Amino acid sequence: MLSIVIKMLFGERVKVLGLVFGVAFATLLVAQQAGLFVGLMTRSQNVIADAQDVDIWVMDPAVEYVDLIRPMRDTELFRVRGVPSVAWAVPLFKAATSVKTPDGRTKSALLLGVDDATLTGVSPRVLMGSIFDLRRPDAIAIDRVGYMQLWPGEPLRLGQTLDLNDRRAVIALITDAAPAFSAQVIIHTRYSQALAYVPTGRNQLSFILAKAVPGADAADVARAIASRTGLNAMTAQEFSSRTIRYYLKHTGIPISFATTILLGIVVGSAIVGLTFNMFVTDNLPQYAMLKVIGVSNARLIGLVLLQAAVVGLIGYAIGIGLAALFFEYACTPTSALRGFNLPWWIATGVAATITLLILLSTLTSLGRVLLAQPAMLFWTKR
Amino acid sequence: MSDALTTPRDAAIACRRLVKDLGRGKFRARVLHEVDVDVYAGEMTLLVGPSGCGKTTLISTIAGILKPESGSVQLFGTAIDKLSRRQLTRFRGNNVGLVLQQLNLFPALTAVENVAIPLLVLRHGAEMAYAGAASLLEGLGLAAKIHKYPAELSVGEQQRVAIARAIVHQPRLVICDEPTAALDAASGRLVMQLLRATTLSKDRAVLVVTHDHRIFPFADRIIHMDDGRIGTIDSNLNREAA
Repeated sequence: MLSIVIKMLFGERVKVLGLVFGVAFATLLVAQQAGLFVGLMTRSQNVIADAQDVDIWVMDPAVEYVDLIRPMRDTELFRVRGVPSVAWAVPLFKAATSVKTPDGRTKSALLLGVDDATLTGVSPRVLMGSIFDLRRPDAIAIDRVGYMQLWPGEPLRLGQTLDLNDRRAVIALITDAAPAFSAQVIIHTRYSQALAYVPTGRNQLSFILAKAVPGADAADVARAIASRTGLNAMTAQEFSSRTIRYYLKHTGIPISFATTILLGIVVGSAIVGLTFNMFVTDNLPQYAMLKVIGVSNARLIGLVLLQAAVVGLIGYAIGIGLAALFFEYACTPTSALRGFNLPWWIATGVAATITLLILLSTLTSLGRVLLAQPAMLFWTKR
Repeated sequence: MSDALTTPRDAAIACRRLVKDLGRGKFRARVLHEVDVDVYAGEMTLLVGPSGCGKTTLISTIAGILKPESGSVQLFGTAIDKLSRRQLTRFRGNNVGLVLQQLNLFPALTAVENVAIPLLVLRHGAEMAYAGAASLLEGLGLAAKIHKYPAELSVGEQQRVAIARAIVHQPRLVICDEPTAALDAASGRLVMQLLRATTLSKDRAVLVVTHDHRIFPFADRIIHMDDGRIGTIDSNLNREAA
């Protein structure tokens, strides 16, 4: 019986195409926009993500998210180190600046100064060079995409020089650093070197990165740091979440993406709902005939839902496949869209959304199927 | 001549004091007025009468497709007006085969798939259902057409497929609504011969609604209806068979 209703479905090729298009369109739009949105939110806390060995972030109490810098006194570092259960604490300098190649190509950059001794905070994904080369004079690490923006078409090469606020910087390391929110060139260097590149006022320390001793709960240690120093301290996870929340609350990004996603759902629902309604209306005599032959209402609903599920599955497969192709080919590791992807949980969420969309779209049609009276077969001739 | 009514248990179809209204509000009208009628197994009964006299309403009620306002319908001893909707659907699926004027074949399905549907609905295995359907179609002279779609068949061939679909699951009652209305005289005659040959047996009743005088000779009995009431009943005819 299942194969029969599937054949009935595909007997209406144009309508099936319309249904599949509607579902595929909604799936593609929702999955692609959700993937881009999540990627953008992930980018907003790239610095936190790259500091992989860090448990606790300490900052001025006025700091709301990772891109807002209110420098602290250098002495705060020693106060944090003095808090019990803190295994170690290192400084992090963060500033926006610009870099220029010898031939004059200029790009905005995110400059990160990491602890001179431990180099904690440098992206662990090294593509070329050794992290210890950062200890050389004027040495900097640059991310691969930033390098490609500055020297388009040229192969990656160590030893290239850059002008950073009229000071010489030598590329000693090329990393695959997590992409920044605004796609800047990402430069890591020693803390002392960074201060030389970007002179600041009396207070210079952007963040303090700390590690809890083994066995201590990072959240408890963060609370202890905050209590003892009066600074703001939180786990890396909490700081990530706070940064994302800031972008959600204070920018138009979520509204923009939500509007597009909603549009995808509404347009998809409209296409699927109207086309399925047409399909059911045109096939009412067939459904009525099935009732005459002995198919119960419950079984008929099951068969209609099967037809909806089949077009839903095909449409979803096409839509999610196209979305996956977009992320695969448009968001390569060397492109400006790197880091955007389609995680499994978005694909699952989209599947749930599309299921709901199809159920809602078929609801009115199901009512028509239920109300389809076999008696109509006797009177349609007149 | 007119028959006296038998007890419901003896008749394949026994309708008693059947009342049916159609329409709503001020358009509501009584279509069946306390109809008493019996149809017997082993006979082909024709239900005839002018348009609007209630023939189609009567067979719809007999098939359990319309629910009467009052009165009773018994099919082979089962009071179908007492069955729940689910029970009625199952009962109809098992016991009633319908051939409608508009054949309502499924256009996306081949002849054999169309005919197999009642068996599939009754949850016969697919292999058995298709084998049974193919065998029946072969018996109806459609061996070469079993994998053709309705649009690829002539009207007469489509009619045979519809008849096959109505009888493939061996229902005890076959109801045909204007089976020859769209056919020329020769084709209509062929269909009626086919109906008699394939559907009629001693434990199966065949009820045909028609306007078509040309097929009256095929009947064992002819029930005349007028204005929602049973008129005369002509019995023991079947002059064609004779």
